[in-house]
Amino acid sequence: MKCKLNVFTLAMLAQAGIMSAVMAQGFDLSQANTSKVKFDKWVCKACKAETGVNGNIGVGLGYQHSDDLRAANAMGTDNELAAKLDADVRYSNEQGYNAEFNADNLGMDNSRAQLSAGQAGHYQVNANFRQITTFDTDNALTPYLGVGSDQLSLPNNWVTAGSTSAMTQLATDLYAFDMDLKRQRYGLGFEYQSEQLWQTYINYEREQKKGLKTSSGSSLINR
Amino acid sequence: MKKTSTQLTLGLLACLLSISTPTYASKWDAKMTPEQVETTLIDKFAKGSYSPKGADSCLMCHKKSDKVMALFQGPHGATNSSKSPMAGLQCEACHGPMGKHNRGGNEPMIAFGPKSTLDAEMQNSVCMSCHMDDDRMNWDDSHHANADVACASCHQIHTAADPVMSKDTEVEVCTSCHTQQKADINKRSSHPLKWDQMVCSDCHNPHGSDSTDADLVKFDINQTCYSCHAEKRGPKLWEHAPVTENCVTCHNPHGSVNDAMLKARAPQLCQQCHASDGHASNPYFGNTNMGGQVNNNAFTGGRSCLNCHSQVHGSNHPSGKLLQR
Repeated sequence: MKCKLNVFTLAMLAQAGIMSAVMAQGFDLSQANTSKVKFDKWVCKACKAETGVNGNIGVGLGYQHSDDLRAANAMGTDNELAAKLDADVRYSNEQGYNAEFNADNLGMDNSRAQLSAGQAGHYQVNANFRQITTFDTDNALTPYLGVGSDQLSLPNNWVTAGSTSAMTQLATDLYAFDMDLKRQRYGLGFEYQSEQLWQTYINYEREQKKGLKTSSGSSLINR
Repeated sequence: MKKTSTQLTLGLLACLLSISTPTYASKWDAKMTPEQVETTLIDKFAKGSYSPKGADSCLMCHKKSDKVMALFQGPHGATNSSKSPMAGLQCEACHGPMGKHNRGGNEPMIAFGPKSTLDAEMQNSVCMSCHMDDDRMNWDDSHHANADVACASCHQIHTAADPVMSKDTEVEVCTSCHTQQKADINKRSSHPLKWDQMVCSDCHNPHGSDSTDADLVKFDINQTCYSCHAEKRGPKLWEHAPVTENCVTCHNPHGSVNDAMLKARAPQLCQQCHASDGHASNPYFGNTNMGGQVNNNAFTGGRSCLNCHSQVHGSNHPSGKLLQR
Protein backbone atom coordinates (compact mmCIF):
# COMPACT_ATOMS: atom_id res chain seq x y z
CA MET A 1 0.00 0.00 0.00
CA LYS A 2 1.31 3.33 -1.01
CA CYS A 3 0.88 6.13 1.49
CA LYS A 4 1.41 9.72 0.40
CA LEU A 5 1.87 12.46 2.94
CA ASN A 6 1.69 16.06 1.88
CA VAL A 7 3.51 18.88 3.69
CA PHE A 8 0.39 19.89 5.61
CA THR A 9 -0.17 16.35 6.92
CA LEU A 10 3.49 16.08 7.89
CA ALA A 11 3.26 19.40 9.73
CA MET A 12 0.21 18.18 11.62
CA LEU A 13 1.91 14.93 12.56
CA ALA A 14 5.02 16.81 13.69
CA GLN A 15 2.84 19.13 15.77
CA ALA A 16 1.03 16.14 17.29
CA GLY A 17 4.41 14.65 18.18
CA ILE A 18 5.50 17.87 19.89
CA MET A 19 2.16 18.10 21.71
CA SER A 20 2.38 14.55 23.02
CA ALA A 21 5.96 15.19 24.18
CA VAL A 22 4.78 18.30 26.03
CA MET A 23 1.81 16.50 27.51
CA ALA A 24 4.07 13.69 28.69
CA GLN A 25 6.02 16.12 30.86
CA GLY A 26 4.88 16.53 34.40
CA PHE A 27 3.25 14.33 36.93
CA ASP A 28 -0.09 13.47 35.40
CA LEU A 29 -1.65 10.88 37.70
CA SER A 30 -3.03 8.91 34.77
CA GLN A 31 0.60 8.23 33.81
CA ALA A 32 1.63 7.10 37.31
CA ASN A 33 3.48 3.80 37.45
CA THR A 34 1.51 1.96 40.13
CA SER A 35 2.52 -1.57 39.11
CA LYS A 36 4.44 -2.13 42.35
CA VAL A 37 1.90 -0.63 44.73
CA LYS A 38 0.30 -3.03 47.21
CA PHE A 39 -2.93 -1.13 47.81
CA ASP A 40 -4.27 -3.77 50.23
CA LYS A 41 -1.69 -2.55 52.75
CA TRP A 42 -2.61 1.12 52.28
CA VAL A 43 -5.23 1.17 55.05
CA CYS A 44 -4.41 4.66 56.28
CA LYS A 45 -4.79 4.05 60.02
CA ALA A 46 -3.39 7.46 60.88
CA CYS A 47 -5.79 9.34 58.64
CA LYS A 48 -8.11 11.26 60.90
CA ALA A 49 -10.79 12.51 58.51
CA GLU A 50 -13.09 15.02 60.10
CA THR A 51 -16.63 13.74 60.77
CA GLY A 52 -19.57 15.15 62.72
CA VAL A 53 -20.51 18.80 62.95
CA ASN A 54 -17.76 21.43 62.91
CA GLY A 55 -17.64 25.17 62.42
CA ASN A 56 -18.70 28.48 63.86
CA ILE A 57 -21.97 30.31 64.33
CA GLY A 58 -22.10 33.94 65.34
CA VAL A 59 -24.91 36.34 66.05
CA GLY A 60 -24.49 40.07 66.15
CA LEU A 61 -26.53 43.00 67.37
CA GLY A 62 -25.56 46.56 66.56
CA TYR A 63 -26.67 50.16 66.77
CA GLN A 64 -25.67 52.92 64.40
CA HIS A 65 -26.52 56.56 63.99
CA SER A 66 -25.67 58.26 60.74
CA ASP A 67 -26.65 61.48 59.03
CA ASP A 68 -25.70 60.23 55.57
CA LEU A 69 -27.42 57.25 53.94
CA ARG A 70 -24.30 56.37 51.94
CA ALA A 71 -22.69 55.16 55.18
CA ALA A 72 -25.15 52.24 55.05
CA ASN A 73 -23.17 50.79 52.12
CA ALA A 74 -20.27 50.16 54.47
CA MET A 75 -22.43 49.30 57.48
CA GLY A 76 -24.51 46.75 55.54
CA THR A 77 -27.85 48.26 56.54
CA ASP A 78 -29.56 51.59 57.09
CA ASN A 79 -31.43 50.37 60.16
CA GLU A 80 -30.38 52.04 63.39
CA LEU A 81 -30.70 48.74 65.23
CA ALA A 82 -29.46 45.72 63.29
CA ALA A 83 -29.18 42.01 63.99
CA LYS A 84 -27.26 39.45 61.96
CA LEU A 85 -26.32 35.78 61.73
CA ASP A 86 -22.91 34.54 60.55
CA ALA A 87 -22.33 30.83 60.09
CA ASP A 88 -19.73 28.47 58.70
CA VAL A 89 -20.90 25.00 59.69
CA ARG A 90 -19.97 21.67 58.11
CA TYR A 91 -21.31 18.18 58.67
CA SER A 92 -19.79 14.97 57.36
CA ASN A 93 -20.21 11.30 58.18
CA GLU A 94 -18.29 8.07 57.49
CA GLN A 95 -20.39 7.29 54.40
CA GLY A 96 -19.40 10.56 52.75
CA TYR A 97 -22.72 12.34 53.23
CA ASN A 98 -22.08 15.95 53.98
CA ALA A 99 -23.81 19.28 54.42
CA GLU A 100 -22.57 22.83 54.73
CA PHE A 101 -24.23 26.06 55.74
CA ASN A 102 -22.61 29.44 55.23
CA ALA A 103 -24.15 32.74 56.16
CA ASP A 104 -22.71 36.22 56.10
CA ASN A 105 -24.56 39.16 57.68
CA LEU A 106 -27.85 37.29 57.22
CA GLY A 107 -30.69 39.53 58.34
CA MET A 108 -29.06 42.73 57.09
CA ASP A 109 -29.58 44.59 53.81
CA ASN A 110 -26.30 43.28 52.44
CA SER A 111 -26.09 39.57 53.14
CA ARG A 112 -25.70 36.12 51.67
CA ALA A 113 -26.26 32.50 52.61
CA GLN A 114 -25.71 29.09 51.07
CA LEU A 115 -26.88 25.64 52.06
CA SER A 116 -25.43 22.62 50.30
CA ALA A 117 -25.74 18.90 50.90
CA GLY A 118 -24.81 15.70 49.15
CA GLN A 119 -22.42 12.79 49.03
CA ALA A 120 -18.74 13.51 48.41
CA GLY A 121 -17.68 12.54 44.92
CA HIS A 122 -21.27 11.72 43.79
CA TYR A 123 -23.77 14.52 43.96
CA GLN A 124 -24.39 17.87 45.58
CA VAL A 125 -27.46 20.09 45.80
CA ASN A 126 -27.36 23.68 46.92
CA ALA A 127 -29.61 26.64 47.56
CA ASN A 128 -28.24 30.13 47.84
CA PHE A 129 -29.33 33.67 48.54
CA ARG A 130 -27.60 37.02 48.04
CA GLN A 131 -28.88 40.49 48.75
CA ILE A 132 -26.99 43.62 47.77
CA THR A 133 -28.44 47.01 48.55
CA THR A 134 -26.82 50.11 47.12
CA PHE A 135 -27.65 53.19 49.14
CA ASP A 136 -27.34 56.39 47.13
CA THR A 137 -28.85 59.29 49.07
CA ASP A 138 -31.62 60.12 51.53
CA ASN A 139 -31.80 63.69 50.35
CA ALA A 140 -32.94 63.43 46.72
CA LEU A 141 -35.50 66.16 45.97
CA THR A 142 -38.53 66.00 43.68
CA PRO A 143 -41.78 67.91 43.21
CA TYR A 144 -43.41 64.86 41.58
CA LEU A 145 -46.05 62.84 43.40
CA GLY A 146 -46.15 59.06 43.02
CA VAL A 147 -42.39 58.42 43.22
CA GLY A 148 -41.82 54.68 42.92
CA SER A 149 -45.06 54.06 41.02
CA ASP A 150 -45.72 53.87 37.28
CA GLN A 151 -47.18 57.38 37.14
CA LEU A 152 -45.64 60.65 38.20
CA SER A 153 -47.79 63.73 38.54
CA LEU A 154 -47.19 67.34 39.54
CA PRO A 155 -49.08 68.87 42.48
CA ASN A 156 -52.35 70.73 41.79
CA ASN A 157 -50.83 74.08 42.71
CA TRP A 158 -47.92 73.64 40.29
CA VAL A 159 -47.03 76.69 38.21
CA THR A 160 -45.80 75.70 34.77
CA ALA A 161 -42.89 77.76 33.46
CA GLY A 162 -40.03 77.64 30.99
CA SER A 163 -37.30 77.83 33.61
CA THR A 164 -36.98 76.74 37.23
CA SER A 165 -36.74 80.33 38.43
CA ALA A 166 -40.24 80.95 37.12
CA MET A 167 -41.68 77.82 38.76
CA THR A 168 -42.91 79.67 41.81
CA GLN A 169 -44.18 76.60 43.67
CA LEU A 170 -41.00 74.59 43.14
CA ALA A 171 -39.40 75.38 46.50
CA THR A 172 -42.52 74.58 48.49
CA ASP A 173 -43.39 71.43 46.52
CA LEU A 174 -39.96 69.80 46.70
CA TYR A 175 -39.69 66.96 49.18
CA ALA A 176 -36.84 64.54 50.00
CA PHE A 177 -36.92 60.81 49.36
CA ASP A 178 -34.50 57.89 49.76
CA MET A 179 -32.76 56.62 46.68
CA ASP A 180 -31.48 53.07 46.91
CA LEU A 181 -31.52 49.86 44.90
CA LYS A 182 -32.03 46.43 46.41
CA ARG A 183 -31.01 43.28 44.51
CA GLN A 184 -32.25 39.95 45.83
CA ARG A 185 -30.89 36.84 44.15
CA TYR A 186 -32.06 33.29 44.78
CA GLY A 187 -30.36 30.26 43.31
CA LEU A 188 -30.70 26.47 43.16
CA GLY A 189 -28.08 24.05 41.89
CA PHE A 190 -27.49 20.35 41.36
CA GLU A 191 -24.22 18.68 40.48
CA TYR A 192 -23.59 15.01 39.67
CA GLN A 193 -20.28 13.21 39.33
CA SER A 194 -20.18 9.81 37.72
CA GLU A 195 -17.71 7.08 38.61
CA GLN A 196 -16.66 7.32 34.96
CA LEU A 197 -15.03 10.41 33.50
CA TRP A 198 -18.08 12.61 33.22
CA GLN A 199 -20.05 14.95 35.37
CA THR A 200 -22.93 17.34 34.92
CA TYR A 201 -24.69 20.19 36.66
CA ILE A 202 -27.67 22.47 36.46
CA ASN A 203 -27.94 25.90 38.07
CA TYR A 204 -30.90 28.24 38.29
CA GLU A 205 -30.74 31.84 39.47
CA ARG A 206 -33.30 34.59 39.70
CA GLU A 207 -32.57 38.15 40.72
CA GLN A 208 -35.11 40.80 41.58
CA LYS A 209 -34.19 44.47 41.58
CA LYS A 210 -36.21 47.07 43.40
CA GLY A 211 -35.40 50.72 43.96
CA LEU A 212 -35.28 54.21 42.59
CA LYS A 213 -33.01 55.92 40.11
CA THR A 214 -33.02 59.41 38.70
CA SER A 215 -34.01 60.16 35.16
CA SER A 216 -34.63 63.24 33.11
CA GLY A 217 -36.61 64.20 30.09
CA SER A 218 -37.44 67.15 27.95
CA SER A 219 -40.99 68.32 27.52
CA LEU A 220 -42.62 70.85 25.26
CA ILE A 221 -44.77 73.46 26.91
CA ASN A 222 -47.37 75.52 25.05
CA ARG A 223 -47.76 78.91 26.67
CA MET B 1 37.27 43.78 78.45
CA LYS B 2 38.48 40.72 76.54
CA LYS B 3 35.25 38.90 77.35
CA THR B 4 33.22 41.77 75.96
CA SER B 5 35.31 41.74 72.80
CA THR B 6 34.76 37.99 72.33
CA GLN B 7 31.03 38.39 72.86
CA LEU B 8 30.97 41.17 70.27
CA THR B 9 32.89 39.03 67.75
CA LEU B 10 30.51 36.10 68.29
CA GLY B 11 27.54 38.42 67.89
CA LEU B 12 28.91 39.80 64.61
CA LEU B 13 29.65 36.29 63.36
CA ALA B 14 26.12 35.15 64.18
CA CYS B 15 24.78 38.22 62.42
CA LEU B 16 26.90 37.56 59.31
CA LEU B 17 25.88 33.90 59.26
CA SER B 18 22.22 34.82 59.47
CA ILE B 19 22.66 37.17 56.50
CA SER B 20 24.71 34.85 54.33
CA THR B 21 22.78 31.60 54.96
CA PRO B 22 20.08 31.28 52.31
CA THR B 23 16.70 29.88 53.27
CA TYR B 24 15.46 26.86 51.35
CA ALA B 25 11.93 25.66 50.81
CA SER B 26 13.00 22.06 51.25
CA LYS B 27 15.96 20.21 52.69
CA TRP B 28 17.16 19.00 49.28
CA ASP B 29 17.27 22.49 47.78
CA ALA B 30 20.42 23.19 49.79
CA LYS B 31 22.31 20.41 48.03
CA MET B 32 20.72 20.21 44.59
CA THR B 33 20.07 22.64 41.78
CA PRO B 34 16.44 23.11 40.63
CA GLU B 35 17.32 21.15 37.46
CA GLN B 36 18.64 18.23 39.50
CA VAL B 37 15.52 18.29 41.68
CA GLU B 38 13.26 18.21 38.62
CA THR B 39 15.23 15.41 36.93
CA THR B 40 15.17 13.35 40.11
CA LEU B 41 11.42 13.83 40.52
CA ILE B 42 10.69 12.85 36.89
CA ASP B 43 12.87 9.78 37.32
CA LYS B 44 11.14 8.84 40.60
CA PHE B 45 7.71 9.32 39.01
CA ALA B 46 8.65 7.00 36.14
CA LYS B 47 10.02 4.31 38.45
CA GLY B 48 6.94 4.41 40.68
CA SER B 49 8.65 3.43 43.93
CA TYR B 50 5.66 4.18 46.11
CA SER B 51 5.71 3.61 49.86
CA PRO B 52 4.78 0.25 51.40
CA LYS B 53 1.87 1.61 53.45
CA GLY B 54 0.78 4.81 51.72
CA ALA B 55 -0.18 7.72 53.98
CA ASP B 56 0.72 5.70 57.08
CA SER B 57 4.33 5.61 55.84
CA CYS B 58 4.39 9.39 55.37
CA LEU B 59 2.66 10.19 58.64
CA MET B 60 5.24 8.21 60.65
CA CYS B 61 7.33 11.37 60.41
CA HIS B 62 4.94 14.10 59.22
CA LYS B 63 2.03 13.65 61.63
CA LYS B 64 3.73 16.04 64.04
CA SER B 65 3.01 18.88 61.65
CA ASP B 66 -0.35 20.57 62.22
CA LYS B 67 -0.33 21.78 58.63
CA VAL B 68 0.08 18.26 57.28
CA MET B 69 -2.73 16.93 59.49
CA ALA B 70 -5.01 19.83 58.51
CA LEU B 71 -5.36 18.06 55.14
CA PHE B 72 -7.90 15.76 56.77
CA GLN B 73 -10.23 18.69 57.47
CA GLY B 74 -10.69 19.35 53.76
CA PRO B 75 -11.87 17.42 50.69
CA HIS B 76 -8.35 16.27 49.71
CA GLY B 77 -8.10 14.38 52.99
CA ALA B 78 -11.58 12.88 52.82
CA THR B 79 -11.43 9.14 53.43
CA ASN B 80 -15.09 8.71 52.53
CA SER B 81 -14.97 9.92 48.93
CA SER B 82 -14.05 7.88 45.88
CA LYS B 83 -12.76 11.08 44.21
CA SER B 84 -10.36 12.08 47.00
CA PRO B 85 -6.60 11.44 46.75
CA MET B 86 -7.09 9.34 49.89
CA ALA B 87 -8.98 6.83 47.72
CA GLY B 88 -5.96 6.47 45.46
CA LEU B 89 -2.27 7.14 45.97
CA GLN B 90 -2.99 9.18 49.09
CA CYS B 91 -0.19 11.65 49.99
CA GLU B 92 1.88 10.35 47.09
CA ALA B 93 -0.85 11.24 44.61
CA CYS B 94 0.28 14.85 44.88
CA HIS B 95 3.78 14.62 46.32
CA GLY B 96 4.96 11.77 44.08
CA PRO B 97 6.44 8.36 44.93
CA MET B 98 8.25 8.22 48.24
CA GLY B 99 11.30 6.31 46.91
CA LYS B 100 14.11 6.79 49.42
CA HIS B 101 12.74 10.01 50.86
CA ASN B 102 12.02 8.27 54.17
CA ARG B 103 15.76 7.78 54.71
CA GLY B 104 16.47 11.16 56.24
CA GLY B 105 14.19 13.18 54.01
CA ASN B 106 17.00 14.14 51.63
CA GLU B 107 15.51 12.75 48.43
CA PRO B 108 13.22 15.29 46.77
CA MET B 109 9.45 15.04 46.80
CA ILE B 110 7.08 17.17 44.72
CA ALA B 111 6.65 20.43 46.63
CA PHE B 112 4.14 23.20 45.97
CA GLY B 113 3.86 26.92 46.52
CA PRO B 114 5.99 29.97 45.91
CA LYS B 115 9.07 28.44 47.53
CA SER B 116 9.03 25.30 45.40
CA THR B 117 11.88 25.12 42.88
CA LEU B 118 9.58 23.31 40.45
CA ASP B 119 8.14 25.59 37.80
CA ALA B 120 4.43 26.33 37.75
CA GLU B 121 3.70 24.00 34.84
CA MET B 122 5.27 21.01 36.61
CA GLN B 123 3.46 21.79 39.87
CA ASN B 124 0.17 22.29 38.06
CA SER B 125 0.45 19.02 36.13
CA VAL B 126 -0.34 17.27 39.41
CA CYS B 127 -3.47 19.33 40.13
CA MET B 128 -4.70 19.20 36.54
CA SER B 129 -4.64 15.39 36.63
CA CYS B 130 -7.96 15.53 38.49
CA HIS B 131 -9.19 19.11 38.16
CA MET B 132 -9.91 19.11 34.44
CA ASP B 133 -13.62 19.87 34.41
CA ASP B 134 -15.57 22.42 32.39
CA ASP B 135 -14.57 25.29 34.72
CA ARG B 136 -10.89 24.59 34.05
CA MET B 137 -10.93 23.26 30.50
CA ASN B 138 -9.51 26.58 29.23
CA TRP B 139 -6.69 26.67 31.77
CA ASP B 140 -3.90 26.34 29.20
CA ASP B 141 -5.09 29.49 27.41
CA SER B 142 -5.81 31.44 30.58
CA HIS B 143 -4.03 34.60 31.65
CA HIS B 144 -2.86 32.92 34.85
CA ALA B 145 -1.35 29.95 32.99
CA ASN B 146 0.40 32.28 30.54
CA ALA B 147 1.83 34.20 33.49
CA ASP B 148 3.17 30.95 34.99
CA VAL B 149 0.94 31.15 38.04
CA ALA B 150 0.91 27.91 40.02
CA CYS B 151 -2.36 26.55 41.44
CA ALA B 152 -0.70 26.69 44.86
CA SER B 153 -0.04 30.42 44.44
CA CYS B 154 -3.75 30.97 45.09
CA HIS B 155 -5.03 27.73 46.60
CA GLN B 156 -4.31 25.97 49.87
CA ILE B 157 -5.40 22.38 50.42
CA HIS B 158 -3.87 21.61 53.81
CA THR B 159 -6.66 23.52 55.51
CA ALA B 160 -10.34 23.19 56.39
CA ALA B 161 -11.28 26.18 54.23
CA ASP B 162 -9.23 27.48 51.31
CA PRO B 163 -9.21 31.32 51.62
CA VAL B 164 -9.68 31.86 47.89
CA MET B 165 -12.76 29.62 47.94
CA SER B 166 -14.45 31.68 50.65
CA LYS B 167 -16.33 34.80 49.55
CA ASP B 168 -15.16 36.57 52.71
CA THR B 169 -11.50 36.31 51.72
CA GLU B 170 -11.47 35.80 47.92
CA VAL B 171 -11.01 39.48 47.05
CA GLU B 172 -8.12 39.73 49.51
CA VAL B 173 -6.31 36.81 47.83
CA CYS B 174 -6.82 38.17 44.29
CA THR B 175 -5.84 41.73 45.13
CA SER B 176 -2.60 40.61 46.75
CA CYS B 177 -1.33 40.51 43.14
CA HIS B 178 -3.91 42.62 41.28
CA THR B 179 -3.05 45.88 43.02
CA GLN B 180 -4.42 48.22 40.36
CA GLN B 181 -7.83 46.66 40.82
CA LYS B 182 -7.34 46.89 44.58
CA ALA B 183 -6.99 50.65 44.19
CA ASP B 184 -9.95 50.87 41.80
CA ILE B 185 -12.39 49.02 44.05
CA ASN B 186 -11.76 51.60 46.75
CA LYS B 187 -12.73 54.53 44.55
CA ARG B 188 -15.97 56.39 45.25
CA SER B 189 -17.94 54.57 42.58
CA SER B 190 -17.30 50.84 42.29
CA HIS B 191 -18.91 47.45 42.47
CA PRO B 192 -19.17 46.51 46.16
CA LEU B 193 -16.03 44.37 46.21
CA LYS B 194 -14.34 46.22 49.05
CA TRP B 195 -17.06 44.96 51.38
CA ASP B 196 -16.96 41.42 49.89
CA GLN B 197 -20.59 41.79 48.81
CA MET B 198 -19.41 40.90 45.34
CA VAL B 199 -16.29 38.87 44.55
CA CYS B 200 -13.87 38.76 41.62
CA SER B 201 -15.20 35.37 40.44
CA ASP B 202 -18.69 36.85 39.94
CA CYS B 203 -17.28 38.21 36.66
CA HIS B 204 -13.97 36.40 36.07
CA ASN B 205 -13.01 32.75 35.81
CA PRO B 206 -9.41 32.67 37.08
CA HIS B 207 -8.97 29.26 35.42
CA GLY B 208 -9.60 30.64 31.95
CA SER B 209 -12.73 30.86 29.86
CA ASP B 210 -14.03 31.12 26.31
CA SER B 211 -14.15 34.87 26.76
CA THR B 212 -12.13 37.11 24.49
CA ASP B 213 -11.38 39.47 27.38
CA ALA B 214 -9.97 39.07 30.87
CA ASP B 215 -11.15 35.46 31.35
CA LEU B 216 -14.72 36.59 31.95
CA VAL B 217 -17.44 34.14 32.93
CA LYS B 218 -19.39 34.89 29.74
CA PHE B 219 -17.95 35.00 26.24
CA ASP B 220 -17.62 38.79 26.13
CA ILE B 221 -17.78 41.86 28.36
CA ASN B 222 -21.37 42.86 27.58
CA GLN B 223 -22.79 39.37 28.16
CA THR B 224 -21.01 39.32 31.53
CA CYS B 225 -22.51 42.70 32.49
CA TYR B 226 -26.00 41.66 31.34
CA SER B 227 -25.96 38.81 33.89
CA CYS B 228 -26.89 41.42 36.49
CA HIS B 229 -27.75 44.47 34.37
CA ALA B 230 -30.34 42.65 32.28
CA GLU B 231 -32.31 45.80 31.48
CA LYS B 232 -29.37 47.00 29.37
CA ARG B 233 -29.39 43.88 27.19
CA GLY B 234 -31.85 45.00 24.55
CA PRO B 235 -32.40 44.66 21.69
CA LYS B 236 -33.75 48.20 21.61
CA LEU B 237 -35.57 49.98 18.84
CA TRP B 238 -33.01 52.79 18.97
CA GLU B 239 -29.63 51.56 20.09
CA HIS B 240 -26.53 53.45 21.12
CA ALA B 241 -23.59 51.86 19.28
CA PRO B 242 -20.98 51.93 22.10
CA VAL B 243 -23.53 50.39 24.48
CA THR B 244 -24.18 47.37 22.31
CA GLU B 245 -20.51 47.17 21.39
CA ASN B 246 -18.73 47.33 24.72
CA CYS B 247 -19.83 48.53 28.18
CA VAL B 248 -16.25 49.40 29.14
CA THR B 249 -16.14 52.05 26.41
CA CYS B 250 -17.70 54.33 29.01
CA HIS B 251 -17.48 52.42 32.31
CA ASN B 252 -14.59 51.05 34.35
CA PRO B 253 -16.15 48.04 36.11
CA HIS B 254 -13.50 47.99 38.84
CA GLY B 255 -14.25 51.51 39.99
CA SER B 256 -13.87 55.15 39.14
CA VAL B 257 -13.73 58.57 40.73
CA ASN B 258 -16.76 59.52 38.61
CA ASP B 259 -20.37 58.63 39.22
CA ALA B 260 -21.68 55.33 37.78
CA MET B 261 -18.09 54.10 37.30
CA LEU B 262 -17.78 56.31 34.25
CA LYS B 263 -14.32 56.77 32.78
CA ALA B 264 -14.87 60.53 32.42
CA ARG B 265 -17.65 63.00 33.24
CA ALA B 266 -20.30 64.24 30.89
CA PRO B 267 -20.11 66.29 28.73
CA GLN B 268 -16.45 65.42 28.09
CA LEU B 269 -17.21 61.68 28.07
CA CYS B 270 -19.86 62.11 25.39
CA GLN B 271 -17.76 64.58 23.43
CA GLN B 272 -15.03 62.00 22.99
CA CYS B 273 -17.23 60.72 20.18
CA HIS B 274 -19.86 63.43 19.63
CA ALA B 275 -17.63 66.33 18.74
CA SER B 276 -17.95 66.74 15.06
CA ASP B 277 -20.96 68.99 14.57
CA GLY B 278 -23.85 70.84 16.11
CA HIS B 279 -24.19 71.70 19.79
CA ALA B 280 -22.01 68.74 20.83
CA SER B 281 -19.00 70.27 19.13
CA ASN B 282 -18.88 73.32 21.43
CA PRO B 283 -16.61 73.32 24.47
CA TYR B 284 -18.51 73.60 27.75
CA PHE B 285 -16.51 74.75 30.77
CA GLY B 286 -19.30 75.38 33.27
CA ASN B 287 -19.05 74.32 36.88
CA THR B 288 -20.50 70.80 36.88
CA ASN B 289 -21.22 70.63 40.61
CA MET B 290 -24.71 69.21 40.88
CA GLY B 291 -26.97 72.18 41.51
CA GLY B 292 -24.07 74.61 41.63
CA GLN B 293 -23.50 77.76 39.64
CA VAL B 294 -23.87 76.57 36.10
CA ASN B 295 -25.33 79.76 34.64
CA ASN B 296 -28.51 77.93 33.75
CA ASN B 297 -26.55 75.99 31.20
CA ALA B 298 -28.27 72.72 30.32
CA PHE B 299 -25.04 71.35 28.87
CA THR B 300 -23.12 71.42 32.14
CA GLY B 301 -25.79 71.58 34.84
CA GLY B 302 -27.56 68.62 36.42
CA ARG B 303 -27.02 65.49 34.35
CA SER B 304 -25.33 67.37 31.50
CA CYS B 305 -25.96 65.66 28.13
CA LEU B 306 -28.27 63.24 29.92
CA ASN B 307 -30.60 66.12 30.85
CA CYS B 308 -32.09 65.59 27.41
CA HIS B 309 -30.55 62.33 26.15
CA SER B 310 -31.55 60.37 29.24
CA GLN B 311 -32.03 57.03 27.46
CA VAL B 312 -28.34 56.68 26.79
CA HIS B 313 -28.51 52.87 26.98
CA GLY B 314 -31.09 52.74 24.18
CA SER B 315 -34.72 53.58 23.66
CA ASN B 316 -37.86 51.69 22.68
CA HIS B 317 -39.92 54.83 22.16
CA PRO B 318 -41.09 55.29 18.54
CA SER B 319 -39.60 58.81 18.60
CA GLY B 320 -36.55 57.86 20.60
CA LYS B 321 -34.00 58.24 17.83
CA LEU B 322 -32.08 60.87 19.78
CA LEU B 323 -32.35 58.77 22.95
CA GLN B 324 -34.41 61.50 24.59
CA ARG B 325 -37.42 59.37 25.57
